[in-house]
This record gives sequence, structure tokens and C-alpha cells, in this order.
Amino acid sequence: MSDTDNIMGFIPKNEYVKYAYLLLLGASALGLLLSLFMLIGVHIPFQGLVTIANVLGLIMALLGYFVFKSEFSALDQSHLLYLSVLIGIFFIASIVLGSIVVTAMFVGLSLALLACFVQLLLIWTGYNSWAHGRSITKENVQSEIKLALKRG
Amino acid sequence: MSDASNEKLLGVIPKEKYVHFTYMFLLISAAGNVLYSLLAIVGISFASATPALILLGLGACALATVGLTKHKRDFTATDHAHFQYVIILFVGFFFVYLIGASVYGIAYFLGYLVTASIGAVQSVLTWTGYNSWQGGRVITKGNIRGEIETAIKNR
Repeated sequence: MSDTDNIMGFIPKNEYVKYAYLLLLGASALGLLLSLFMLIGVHIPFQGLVTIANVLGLIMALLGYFVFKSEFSALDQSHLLYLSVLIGIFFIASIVLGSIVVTAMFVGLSLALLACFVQLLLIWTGYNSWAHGRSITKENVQSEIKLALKRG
Repeated sequence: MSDASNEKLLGVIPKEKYVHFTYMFLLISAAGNVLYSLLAIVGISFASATPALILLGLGACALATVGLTKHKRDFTATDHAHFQYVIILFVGFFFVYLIGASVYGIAYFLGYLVTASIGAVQSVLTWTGYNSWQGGRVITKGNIRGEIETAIKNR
């Protein structure tokens, strides 16, 4: 353990773990609050702030444990390791969950787009059929679609 | 069927253009939907366009219903078939979109429920660590359950 009182020149050594915990507590509490608001349809654009606080907390924990390990007591080291593992796991969970949500959204939008195309095609088929003076029924709708695609 | 060639239905729509307008309303609404969905896929949202597109579709459905009921005698059998087709298309796709939106809404809600649950677990575990550190105790796999209970009691 060195004689210096500050870590990275500005964070008091004896307050380092406390600051890391408070940063991550604030980030997780705000993240939870934002998710609860999202559930009732209220979108508050502070997600970026939560991510920054989580990243800073994770960096503090990792630096504290791996770079400045010798500056801390065994108790602080165990808590810095705990924070690193905890936030690391939740980061991976967020990435996996985010990927699932984005994929689901993309699939949903693709299906909606497909439905829109089918709808447009069927309406065009009807219009084309009417414009050529033909009637449209369940029996001839397939041939009318072919004719509409050929604009006949 | 009325003989007047320049007769207007509902006071404004020329009779010979009535089916044309009905289809145009529905076509514009559907084309707008395609454009809206294409833009949504690349992350551009025009939510304000939705009511206008729905109104156009509803307008087409209303015109077809009026053409098939109140002004039925003014149109040919072919026109009747097309009015029916327009109504079936509108109602059919209305239900398709309604079911799609419901599934999407439920998935969206479940997604945020999972996110909120993960946030709650993260908050509890962070608070547990902080409480343990303040109490001067080491936190390990072996004592984490007891630490969570202590942290909840000390909240």
C-alpha cells in the first residue's frame, strides 16, 4: 500500500469503494425507475445517463481491483471484485436482452411490412379489376392478382 | 339506377368516379402504411401520419358501405362486388393489424417487465454489497444470501 491518499490523483482512497457503490446504486435505482415508467408507457430519455454511470462504476471497480489493488485492504478488494462481477454480469444480461428486443422488433416490423405489401397488392388487384370492368370474387381473386401484376 | 350522368353522390362525389375514389382512398392508405413500415425498419418514425392513414382507410370503408347500402341502386353488380371486396379488405386487415399490435404491445410490456426485474435484482445486489462493505464484512458466494437478508432488514 502506497503513502498516497488519492487514487488517480483525485479520488480519496478511503472513499473510493463508497463512491463506486454510490455511483452504481444511483445508476441501478435510476435504471429501475426508468423501466417502471416504461411499463406504464412514460419514456424518460435518461437511459444514456444510466449507461454512463454503470460504465464509470464498472471502470472504477475494475481499475480498483486490477490496477490499484495494492492500495486497498482485503475487505475493499473483495467488494471491488464483487462490483466488477456484479456489473459485468448485468452488462452481459443487458446486451443479450437488448439483442433479443431489437431482433423481436425487427421481426415484428418485417411482418407488419409484409402485411402492408399484401394489403397494397390486394387493393391494387381490386382497383385493376374494377378499372377493367371485371367483378372480383373468391373464385377469381387469384387470377385477378396475376392480371393486376401484369397490369392487364 | 339513376340516369343523370353528372349526378353527384353524397353531394360531392361524381357517381362515375365513386368507386375510383373509394379505391384511391384505400390505395393511398395502404401505400402510406408500406412507406411508414419501411421507414420504421430503418428507425425513422412518422407516428403523426398514422391517424391520417387510418382516416383514409375508414373513409374508403365508409364510402363502400354507403355505396352498398344507401346508394346501392346507383351502381352496377360489378361495383357492388368491388364495394364488398373493399369492406372485406378493410375489416380483414384491420383485425390483422389489431392482433399484430396486441402481440407487439404484450411483447413490449413483457420486455420492460424483464428489464425492470433485472434492474430490481441489480439494485438489491448493489445495495447488499454497499451494506456489507459499510458493516466491514467481506461478501462471498458463501454468505451472499445472509448479506441480502441483512441488507433488506437494514434498508
